[in-house]
Amino acid sequence: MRLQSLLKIALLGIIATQLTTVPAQAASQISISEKSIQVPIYGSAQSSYGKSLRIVSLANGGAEVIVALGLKSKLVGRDIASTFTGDAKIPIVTQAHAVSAEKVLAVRPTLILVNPGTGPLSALKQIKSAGVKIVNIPEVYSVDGMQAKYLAIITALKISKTDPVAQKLLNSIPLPETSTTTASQKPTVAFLYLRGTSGIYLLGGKGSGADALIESAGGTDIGAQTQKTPFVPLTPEALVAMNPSIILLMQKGLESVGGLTGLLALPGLSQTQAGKTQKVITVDDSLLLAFGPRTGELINKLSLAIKALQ
Amino acid sequence: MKTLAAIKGATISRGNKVLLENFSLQLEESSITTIIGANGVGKTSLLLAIAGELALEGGSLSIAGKNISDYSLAELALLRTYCPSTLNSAFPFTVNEFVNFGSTPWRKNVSVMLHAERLARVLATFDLVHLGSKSVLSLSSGEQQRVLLAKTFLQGARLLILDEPTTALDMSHQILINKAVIAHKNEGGTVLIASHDQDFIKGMGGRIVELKG
Amino acid sequence: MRTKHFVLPLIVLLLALTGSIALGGVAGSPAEVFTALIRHDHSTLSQVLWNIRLPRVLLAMLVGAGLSLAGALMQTMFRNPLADPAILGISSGSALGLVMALLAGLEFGSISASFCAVLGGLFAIAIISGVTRRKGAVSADTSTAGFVLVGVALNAFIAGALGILLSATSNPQARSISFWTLGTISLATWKGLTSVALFFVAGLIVISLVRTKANLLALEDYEIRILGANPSKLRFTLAIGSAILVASATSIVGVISFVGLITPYAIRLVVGPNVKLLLPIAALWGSILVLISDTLARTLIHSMEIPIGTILALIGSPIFVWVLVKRVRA
Repeated sequence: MRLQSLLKIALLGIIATQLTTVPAQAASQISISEKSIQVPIYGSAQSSYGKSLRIVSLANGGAEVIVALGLKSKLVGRDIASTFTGDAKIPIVTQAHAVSAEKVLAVRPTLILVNPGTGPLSALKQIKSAGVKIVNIPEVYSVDGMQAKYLAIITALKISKTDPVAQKLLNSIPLPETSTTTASQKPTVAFLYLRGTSGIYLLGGKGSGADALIESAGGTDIGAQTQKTPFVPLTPEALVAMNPSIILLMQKGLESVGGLTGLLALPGLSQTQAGKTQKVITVDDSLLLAFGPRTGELINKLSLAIKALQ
Repeated sequence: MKTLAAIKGATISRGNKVLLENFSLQLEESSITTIIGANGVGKTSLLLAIAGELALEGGSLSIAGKNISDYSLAELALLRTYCPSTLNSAFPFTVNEFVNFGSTPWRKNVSVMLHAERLARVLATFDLVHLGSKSVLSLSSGEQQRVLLAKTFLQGARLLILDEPTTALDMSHQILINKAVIAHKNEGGTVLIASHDQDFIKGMGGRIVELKG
Repeated sequence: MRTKHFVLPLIVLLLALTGSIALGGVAGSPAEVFTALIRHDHSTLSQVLWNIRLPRVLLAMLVGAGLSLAGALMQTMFRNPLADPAILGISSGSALGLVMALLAGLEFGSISASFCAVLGGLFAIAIISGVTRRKGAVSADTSTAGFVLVGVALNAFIAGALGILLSATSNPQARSISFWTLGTISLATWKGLTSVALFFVAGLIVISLVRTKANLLALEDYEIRILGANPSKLRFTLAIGSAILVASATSIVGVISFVGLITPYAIRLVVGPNVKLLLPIAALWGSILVLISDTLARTLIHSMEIPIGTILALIGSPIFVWVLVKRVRA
């Protein structure tokens, strides 16, 4: 009967699909976890707020700066993206990425550091009306911008610019890349922002933050070379055409597609140089784009990773 | 004469209102029975009940000697059919397609040629040939009524239950219906009609049953 | 069967298929594409064609055909020309089923995960039927406002349920909610394509069981019974067929709107409501619509991926409004 043969073919098809999985191979994946980089502490900065200072940091990278200034004991609340070794006792006061006025006020802060994009505004209004001072810190995604960011935080904390600890912090900003290697000799790195099977890769372009790190670490960010906006949804074919030799990802991003196996199963990826040789660098989410005191060490480790994968 | 359908001691209600109590009626083969009565007295309900589409409270209904519940829907479709007085269609099917719905109970068992022949014949009988490709939703109420009748007759059931079949028809078309009904009776079939139309009823002959409130 | 209605879509489909295979991020002249296609070798173009473009193009066609068929079936089932899998919440029901499967540990793209999506779709159909159906009157069934409202409510409810599930879990596979709101065919792989193809065939088999009687659903329930057919059974079978088609597509490409509404509605205006002609023609045009939209999505702006939902919405919204206005006037 025709129906029977049809069902047999269907059954074979089902079995066939279950068997075709990408075999896990020994990969050249290098992972930079935040545990491997400690926040350097440059001393104990003097704030003219004195003992009463209680800080909640909702600004990108703000928490680490406060720790670097030796004021960790004054940090009473942080946002979900601020993670670092020794952060266990400092409560998270956001609901996913949204500020919770209740949680913030529960830790009785005297000062809140925010970025222009921090929200929701209603929560911030509530906090302000409770009498707490809110200071806006610039959100930077480049090494060049770190100076302005540090100065803003130092000022917000009422620390003198001449304070020796503050000076040490400002001097710790990585210097611009002065390598003489031509662009064509540098390994090409693509920064992919993935969130589960969102179906499209977001490719980091100019201003994503990863471009600054990659350039400082001795690589070429191919996304930044062609895309003028920080993040662009990329077609699989375009990724193949770009042919990066290394893929840079955030740790959670890699997990959200099912690890290395899942990453390589995404269309286009296994046709790139990086995919064929499985050269992947993952960095902890909060570490990668924090642009704070750990960034210098991060750039060193990235540089080593890129050299190792060449 | 053999009994084709019989309803015995039935109570028929619509909503909370009891329309008929302890009602009995026998329909013989080769017969025409017309139900008359005021509006709302229960003619449609009675017809639907005999068709098996309105539940009886008490009493029984049998068709061709067996209780109606002993038949499958497919078997019943060859024994009895019901024709409403107004046409409802969710989509604009053509007259040909709509009338052809009537062939559902037997089309699997009949040759394509015979099927086509029966369809053509019924369309001619009810003067629908020239309207074949028109959407049923675009027809006048008289034309729609003829389409319903054509579909009903195409079904070829032994018991034809027609609910007010001539309300929108002019005289010449009424005569067509008249002829078709009598022809069915002469072939041994049974017809049960609800009607107000005095001329039509007179033209039918047969038994008249009056429902009183 | 009027063959003239098949000629145009088949030609257009062939052209669209050729164009879609020839165009893409990794460029090549038609001759190069042709050779790369025939010679399945290790060149970049050939690899891209065989591993990325071909499965994607075929998946787009299958999804378009399946969604369009499901829409036609749903319009038949609910006696309403404005029924559509996405608007009625069936696509999101499938998404819910899939997310629950992923959270239970099933693998994305697997047959079992798609099966759970089918169950989710059936759940949604059951709710819509239960809430909107009233015994008898066709006019009650075709109340457009009623449909849209129930669909909106169901979509909102499921979005809420999905939101809770996704925020409460740390399971990475289920993470992204954007996937469910704006579908995409960019994840096409041979594995996913096979899964959709198998379910597509299963759906077709189910539909073929009732193809001769499906038209009867235009009549009142009691009229259908008088003719010897069981309306509940008909609707149930069509429901399963639709759920299979919609859910299997949704489980790989996410929620894609409009195809299930626009295509069958427009085709019905041209070829009539008879499913014998409506289903295959609607499937063909649905295939064409999604194929062309997906090709635009991946080639319109160089190297960028425009979500297919956006393109279909841009094309679909004005058509949808035009359709509604036309229907109100009728």
